[in-house]
Amino acid sequence: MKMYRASTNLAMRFPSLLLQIGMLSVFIFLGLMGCNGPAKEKTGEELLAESKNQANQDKNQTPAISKEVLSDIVKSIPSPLEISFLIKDLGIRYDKTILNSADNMSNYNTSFKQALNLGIYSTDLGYANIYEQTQDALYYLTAVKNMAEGLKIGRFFDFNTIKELATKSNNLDSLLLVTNTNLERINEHLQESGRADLTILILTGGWLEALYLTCEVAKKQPNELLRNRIGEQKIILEQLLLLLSFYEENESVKDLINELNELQRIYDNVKITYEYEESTAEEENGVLIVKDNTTSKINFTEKDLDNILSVSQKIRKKIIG
Amino acid sequence: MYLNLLLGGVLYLHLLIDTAFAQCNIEPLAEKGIKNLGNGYTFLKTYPVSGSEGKKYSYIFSQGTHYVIHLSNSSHNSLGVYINMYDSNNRKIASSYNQETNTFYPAISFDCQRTGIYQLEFKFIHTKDYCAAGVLGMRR
Repeated sequence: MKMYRASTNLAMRFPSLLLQIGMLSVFIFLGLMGCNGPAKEKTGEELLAESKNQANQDKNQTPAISKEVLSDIVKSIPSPLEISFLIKDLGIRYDKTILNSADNMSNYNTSFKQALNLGIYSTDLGYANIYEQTQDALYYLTAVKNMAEGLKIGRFFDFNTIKELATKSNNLDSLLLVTNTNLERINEHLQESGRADLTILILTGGWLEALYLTCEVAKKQPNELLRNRIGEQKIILEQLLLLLSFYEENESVKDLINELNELQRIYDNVKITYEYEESTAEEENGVLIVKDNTTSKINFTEKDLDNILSVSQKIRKKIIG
Repeated sequence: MYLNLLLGGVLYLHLLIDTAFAQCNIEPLAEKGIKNLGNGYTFLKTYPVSGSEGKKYSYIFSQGTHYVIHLSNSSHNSLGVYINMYDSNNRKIASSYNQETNTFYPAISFDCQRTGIYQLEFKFIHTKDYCAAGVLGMRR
């Protein structure tokens, strides 16, 4: 009887119970959306500009750069592999002498130097890999591993898999894939763990090495494509300097910024002009093939090129020394 | 019967919480995109996209380089997720979704004629699956 009454009560109360569950669900759902639902998306540039303004308002505070901004800008920086591929595609021979010797790795004892040289060695590793120089690739792999361990991020680098891929032939795609995904994981981890400054230094080192390699190759074998690629680095340098500026309270970073500013002053002479024409697209085997018909012209003098060569060489020498 | 309904309600609540908390697992989607890059393409970047608003990224594309961006989500042909590409002056260059024909292209192949910062806007439409990955590769 009691049970019946209880059931009756439950039956009577059930619609209200369901309503309460429903309302609770809605509240929880709305609450979660409120917590996690992103506001209107902003572009990396917009977010960067906002953060930059905030940073300028109070230089004494910790770097006013959000993880989101940093992640967006980091992702916008091209991989140094692009330049290495260009060098190889131009039929230019592999030149080991222009790389940073892996024997130097024991000289890098601060996280500042280790991060910059992790970037440099990663570019060298990519270059050696692209030319399928197994022995050198293993040599640079050890250097990358050493730098990563110094920065306590060695666990993100799958040394054994990369080593195995590097020693087998016809594995270039897989090798570059594993190397790139490992470096991507390292960057993500550093950003997540509040060490974004190291990510920026790794990127800067990697970029500087790619610029240096291009300059060295262009010096020996002048080529219009390489020359243009050197001029285009103006855009990337601007991005890197913006990122570094958030950490200028650090003396070492400040010195690096000053040196890169010297390079930027030369790049001020590089003029990039665009001629707009609407893009075209067509479908081919289910893939949309897009052609951006806008073209660009890059103008700078031989003297500017020489200055870019010498200043980038000077900055690199200080980093690897 | 009421007990069943009650259990149903609790299950519904549980599902709602689960959905709200569900993590968008990018890794398998990125792997799928990477596999789709195919021979001759080198992987460059992964772009995680989660949440109904989608996500905007930027990338500095280089003149004379051929890029490809593959989209992947839980569907076979990347239905419901698409990408809009804009140049540095915010001019739309391409979209992998054709609104008129309701066609989703799972990949955009891009022949870059000028170096610059491009915006990659990942969006969702006609789907409740707000989890996807974009994978950028370059042709060698």
